[in-house]
Amino acid sequence: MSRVCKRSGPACTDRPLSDRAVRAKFDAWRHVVASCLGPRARLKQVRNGVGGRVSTTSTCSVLLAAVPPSEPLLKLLTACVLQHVQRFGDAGLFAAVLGLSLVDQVTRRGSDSSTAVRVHQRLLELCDLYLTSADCCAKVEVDLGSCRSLLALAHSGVSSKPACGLDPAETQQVSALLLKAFLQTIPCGSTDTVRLGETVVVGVEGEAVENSAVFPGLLLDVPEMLHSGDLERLGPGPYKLALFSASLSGDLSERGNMEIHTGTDPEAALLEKLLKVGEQVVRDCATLFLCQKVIHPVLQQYLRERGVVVVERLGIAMLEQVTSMTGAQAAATSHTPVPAEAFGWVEALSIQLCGTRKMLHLQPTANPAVCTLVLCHRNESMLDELKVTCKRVQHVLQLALKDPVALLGGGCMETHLSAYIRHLSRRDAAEMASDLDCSPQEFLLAADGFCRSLEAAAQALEHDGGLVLMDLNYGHCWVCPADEELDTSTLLSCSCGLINSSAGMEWTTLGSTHPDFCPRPPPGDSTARACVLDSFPAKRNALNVAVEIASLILDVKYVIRDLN
Amino acid sequence: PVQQGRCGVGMQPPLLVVSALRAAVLRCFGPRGGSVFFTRDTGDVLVTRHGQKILRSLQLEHPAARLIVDCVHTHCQIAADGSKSFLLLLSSLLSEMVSCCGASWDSATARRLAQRLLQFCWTGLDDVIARGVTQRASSLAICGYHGDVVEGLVRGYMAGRVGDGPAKVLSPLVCRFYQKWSGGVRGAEPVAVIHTHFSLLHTAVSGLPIGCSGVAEGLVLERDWSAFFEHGPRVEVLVLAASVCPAAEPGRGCVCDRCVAWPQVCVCAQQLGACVLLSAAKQPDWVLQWARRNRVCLAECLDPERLDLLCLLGQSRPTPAGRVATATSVRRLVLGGRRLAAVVPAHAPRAHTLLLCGPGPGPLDQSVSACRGAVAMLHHVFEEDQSQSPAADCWAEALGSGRLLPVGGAFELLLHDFLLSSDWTGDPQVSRLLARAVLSVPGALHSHKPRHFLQLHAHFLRQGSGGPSRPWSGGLESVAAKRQLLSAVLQCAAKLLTVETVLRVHAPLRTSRSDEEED
Repeated sequence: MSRVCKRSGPACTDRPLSDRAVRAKFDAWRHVVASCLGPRARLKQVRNGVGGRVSTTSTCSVLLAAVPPSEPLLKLLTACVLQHVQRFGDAGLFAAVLGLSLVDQVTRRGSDSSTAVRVHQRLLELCDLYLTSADCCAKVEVDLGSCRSLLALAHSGVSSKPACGLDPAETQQVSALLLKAFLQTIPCGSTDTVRLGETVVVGVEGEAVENSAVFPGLLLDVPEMLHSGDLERLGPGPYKLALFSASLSGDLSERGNMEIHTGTDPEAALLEKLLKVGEQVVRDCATLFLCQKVIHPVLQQYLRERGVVVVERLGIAMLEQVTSMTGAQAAATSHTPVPAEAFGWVEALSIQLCGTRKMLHLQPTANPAVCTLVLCHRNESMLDELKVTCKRVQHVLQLALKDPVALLGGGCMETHLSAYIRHLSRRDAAEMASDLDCSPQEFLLAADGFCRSLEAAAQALEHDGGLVLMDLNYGHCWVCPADEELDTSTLLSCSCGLINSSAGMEWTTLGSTHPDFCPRPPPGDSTARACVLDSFPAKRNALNVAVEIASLILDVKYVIRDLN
Repeated sequence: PVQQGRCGVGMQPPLLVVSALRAAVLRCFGPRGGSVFFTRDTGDVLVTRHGQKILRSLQLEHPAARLIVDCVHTHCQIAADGSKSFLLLLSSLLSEMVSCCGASWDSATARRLAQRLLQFCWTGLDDVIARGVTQRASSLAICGYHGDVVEGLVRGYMAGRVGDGPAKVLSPLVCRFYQKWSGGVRGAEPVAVIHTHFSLLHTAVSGLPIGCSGVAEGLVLERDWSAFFEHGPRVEVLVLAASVCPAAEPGRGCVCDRCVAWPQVCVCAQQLGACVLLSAAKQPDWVLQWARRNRVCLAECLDPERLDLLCLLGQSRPTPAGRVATATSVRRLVLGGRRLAAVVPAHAPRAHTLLLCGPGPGPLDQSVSACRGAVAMLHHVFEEDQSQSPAADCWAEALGSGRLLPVGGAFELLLHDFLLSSDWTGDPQVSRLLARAVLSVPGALHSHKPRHFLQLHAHFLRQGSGGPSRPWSGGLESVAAKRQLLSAVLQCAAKLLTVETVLRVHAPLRTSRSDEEED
């Protein structure tokens, strides 16, 4: 113990949200997050001053993980949003924007935060009730019998990330590929518990996006010693496959306890054992020999001489895919011979050229629900963003399969919900206020803040200075481009595409005061028209998380910072 | 070596310290309060309304402050609630004393006053509460209470510990959890079990809103099955303490002592028909492979304490391979993308696990600690209640005899009225001091609407003279816990008053206990 530091006392801040510096940080962060929302988002370049990678992104999970805010309250919010994204894959930015707007609305008005929190909670219950009810007009059924709505979901997911750098045709193509890959992961045949397969994503840099493709089965990196001639010599499939998860390197250090008798060379003895394994595999007529870890070069040579295709260093992730695709059981030891039922089967082997990468294609025998998505893109940064986006979309599609409902995208769900809540809160103000032990004025003020925050999330989708409108019939969101005069006759359809403009419709700019109205359900024939859709479970959870985290932040009355 | 000589402990320094502490906790006092947010440069965050946690995290240096924190800690260990009220009461008691004695304050007065406080605490307090609170409460509004008493107690507790939204979710949840364990029969035993094993009987899941929380049947093992197969209604579970070693040659046994010999596991699995293996250690890959081939469920790297609890509840029996318990079902729980293994022991069908969800680690910790606190509070109330009337088996009796009161200042108002009334003939100065001090609690509770406070006070005075009582349902609190709180505050105040000099030393203090530990 060289020296003893005296502990310094903690730094305390009373009512942190009334502190101007903290408010400024909140505003800045809100601007950063809100400007990342939607297909016309402003991209963020994240880089470290001392060098390293530069990533261009507008994706929540990448941005929030890479840029930790300095303000501890914001850290809390970021952590919660990241947790949400991890679970649901989508609507993270929405949660962040809504949460920050709620905090902003309350602090700007300077109203009593505990009343505001109670009102928010109450309105959240109403939102939840409405969204889950059968007559909710902000959601549409996803028809699993046709590709239309699933494709719309995928398309909205891809097009909302401009950092992928895709043009409309490419967006369409990637969405279609994603859907195709997703459909291949659904196993055929009806068992009680359906387990979805997985899509392995392989990125290829420096190729045009059109070259992206979906392959059934798996693509492995071609081992150096394998030539296309070797495959031709194999003859027609299916081929038998042996799989090892134990290392076959023959290293002594990996063996743990063993007894060594004097006079024997342990390495030679081990190699002999390995060769015995090879001998058995060859005797059992296996054509493919895969190992998760390293294979001893002598064993590799031995197998190759007998016409066996050898692939080593698969990695644990690929090992799982191989087991589920081929039905092979990975042998965990080289001591015992591989039992007959542990072998798997592959229908065909071929070499695929994916841009500059040569890949060995393993085709499945039956319907294994495993496929490989090869994504090509021009540069690394865009490819990374595209990969993240594809993961998100796959997640969203999986959630849609579980609960075949989608929410209207493009801001329409937010404006619609806001109009509905505004209507309810005005109608039942006195009753709800007495329930919550506050005055009707306080209740209406807090409810207004809630609705404005929802509208702010819709408004954040527009970044080019266009005017965001809401119609007074259905409560949908409409955008009038900036360079045009505001003329409601030029409006054709709302942001989600569900409502077409018709005579007698009225609009109001979002955020302005407007006469009270109860949003009507859309005309009956139009539900199939919605072309911008969002994931229902993700957005509903995001709404909950946003209100909860805003309540938590508003609840904080005292901050104590430990300086030790 | 004494570095510094005397630094006087008059009335002023402790009062200042207590006022500062009071200011810190007052922000989160009562259902209208907010929370306190701690951060550390290492990135740790803590959101809490728990008075004791706040005090502990402040890392106070001042000797008087540390003495107070110690007193609060001791009190909370017993009653599990009331740390914020403690500071409020202490602060107003001290300031009442200062304003009462004024200029004539010296150490002799302090000592005398401390003596009288203690005297009151030992001899008068029980009497005051019995006559002033319990008797009157039993004839008061409490008759109109309708609703579940456990729920009332939990609700009263939660209102001070978490925000309004979480409280609405957590209070019924904790009650359901208790009811599942108790099976509808009232008794202190299930609460004692939950209280002792709370850390093993809850599972925290982050990333989901708090509304997704629930109660799951059986014990949740916090990890997923490595291999899982559906099994019939009754299965034998083999619990392994260590990893399996192959023991290639029969009869030779294992190479090391800490392994379980594989042949023994096989024999045990076959003889008993055990088709679920639970292991505290990571098992070799070939065991997993064997399990998959033989349709045996396998879960690895489990918390040994959880396994011990499972064996305890499942009345396991030892075998050469490990302990064996019977389960009525083994399941896989799916919670927001996370999969968890769950086992229902056959001998403990009432065993349940609390599943707590929260959007992130901060709020989740708050929920967990609030639920833990609620269980501890229930445990204390049940114990007190049983010691007072062991035969009683219904809550109506506890309500009727005035051992439970509505939250929101009823206790303090009743006590205040009694201490100042002519019925009480105790030490007049102490009575007056205490009567004024206790008003600070309802005052702080209704600080956002002072008019409520006056109305409530008037309401109680009216009822005391036979006014009507409305039926009501809301939070409840136990009079025993309040009594405990008052006596702790009085003792702490006496301690503060009797200290005359603080000596600062550099050598570490050796207490008899630390000597024993070293031996």
